[in-house]
Parts: sequence; C-alpha cells; structure tokens
Amino acid sequence: MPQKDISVTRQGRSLAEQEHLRPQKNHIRPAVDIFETEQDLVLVADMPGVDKERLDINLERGILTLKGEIEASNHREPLFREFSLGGSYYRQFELSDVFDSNKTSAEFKNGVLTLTLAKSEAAKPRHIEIQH
Amino acid sequence: MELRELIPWKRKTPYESRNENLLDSLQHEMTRVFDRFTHGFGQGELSKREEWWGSSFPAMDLAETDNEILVTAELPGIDEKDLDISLRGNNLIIRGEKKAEHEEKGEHYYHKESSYGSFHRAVPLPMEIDEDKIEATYKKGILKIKLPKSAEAQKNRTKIAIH
Repeated sequence: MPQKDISVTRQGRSLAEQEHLRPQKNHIRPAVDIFETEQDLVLVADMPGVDKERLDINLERGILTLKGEIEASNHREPLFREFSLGGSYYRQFELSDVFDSNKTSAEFKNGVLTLTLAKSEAAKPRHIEIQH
Repeated sequence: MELRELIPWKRKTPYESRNENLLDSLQHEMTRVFDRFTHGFGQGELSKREEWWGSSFPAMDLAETDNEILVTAELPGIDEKDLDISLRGNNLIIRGEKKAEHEEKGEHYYHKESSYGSFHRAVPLPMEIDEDKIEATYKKGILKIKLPKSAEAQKNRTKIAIH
C-alpha cells in the first residue's frame, strides 16, 4: 500500500509539511515551475551552483525527491552578501501514478534542471472521432 | 489522483493570514497599492535602494582579498550570450535576460516560482579597478567576476600603527 505510507507519516504530518518543517539551515528550496503539455508534465527547477554529478533525482513510491549539493564558497569575509554558495538543495513532491516512470528524462543546463515526466497512455488526452 | 495534487504545499501569504480582520486587510491592501504606485515614480523605499543597487536580482555576494574584488551572482538558466557585463566609472553593471526556454503552445502551468525577463544591476565598487584584467566566468548558473585592484588602489592601503 504505497499510497498509505505516503499520507500517514510520522507525527501525523503530511509529506509536504514535513518537507516544509525541515531545518532551514543549509537546505535551500529550489524555485520550481511545473507545467503540463499534452504528453508530459515538466518540472523546471533553479539549482545554481550544482554539479551535474552532485545532483540526485529520485522517484520512489510516488515521491519525487530533488537533491543537489552546492559548490562551496571560498569567500571568507564578504563585503556584501545576499546569498552564499555551499549547502544543498532539497525538495520533495508527491506524484500521482499517471506517469510512466520508465519514460522520465532529465536535463541539467546552466544551473537549471528540466525534468520531463511522461504521462502514461491512460492519462493522455484522447480525441474521440464522431462516426458518421 | 489529480495532477493538481502535485503541488505539495500552499503557504499562506502574509496577506492571506491577515484576512481574519477585514479592516486590517483592507488597510494593508491600500498601503500595498500606494507603495507600488510611488515606487514607480522613484519615491518609494525600494527605488531609493535601487538607485545604488539596481534591482535585487540577481542575488550577489561580494568579497575582497588583498589584490581583488570578487563578485558572485546567482543566475540560473541564462545563455552566456544574453549576459552583458560592463564597468562604468566605479560601477560594475550586469545586464541580461532570462528567457523561458519552454514556451510551448497549450502548456498549462500548475506552479510558477521563477520569473523571466530582463534584469539590470549596478554594483558600486569601493576602489579603482584594473580594467584590462577583469575576468568573468559563467558556470552552472553562477556568474563569477574577478576585478583586480589597480596598482594605485593596492598601494593606497596604509597600515596605521597604534602607539
């Protein structure tokens, strides 16, 4: 019953809440865009400072986890700081089961991850022709 | 399960959480509208800051060593050719455009957190720079600029002895 495992979690909190309640220190929530096309669901995540090799995308029991370690900063004494390199990205999403997990593709370019999740055949929109 | 359920968590915005008191929320909304209005005319708090720093995008980190100023900017998803870096007087100016690569017809957004479009930011530098030796790299969505201090600027640093 994988679905049950997802919704009934520790302390009765949902997965989304748990993610939100993770200690903020060193965990950065990447900004994400999610949109749907006819064939796929596309997730675009901003993860600047991550090496492709240090990016970990995991889809398990309907839960998509994005993790990425950010290169460390060598700036010891900043003059001015609005962000700092180092730490890691972390974010989870609960997916419905309409995706074909074998047809997932990921691209990482200029610090942006583009994840394409193919819809399963049953979930694709179907046009029904009217017979004359 | 609906696709919509992918959106894991909707946080209350500060505005929404104020909704308990209608009058408060109305006042808040009015203040917000007026703030936005005045910002556009260079009187708001934000634009005062912008005179110096431009907008607050991209986020930056500035550091100094004995010989150089190091600027790091967080700029995910930008084509190198859409980046323009220049030095005007004592200001480092970063301009660019973030283009959405995935503009397809018929797409439907469920969630949108990143923004696209052009940006411009000026960083006042605290000393003279050797303009010919500036180096910039853009990798993994991070822009790094090394600005070597001019010989003069390096010389001008005097240690003051305490008697």
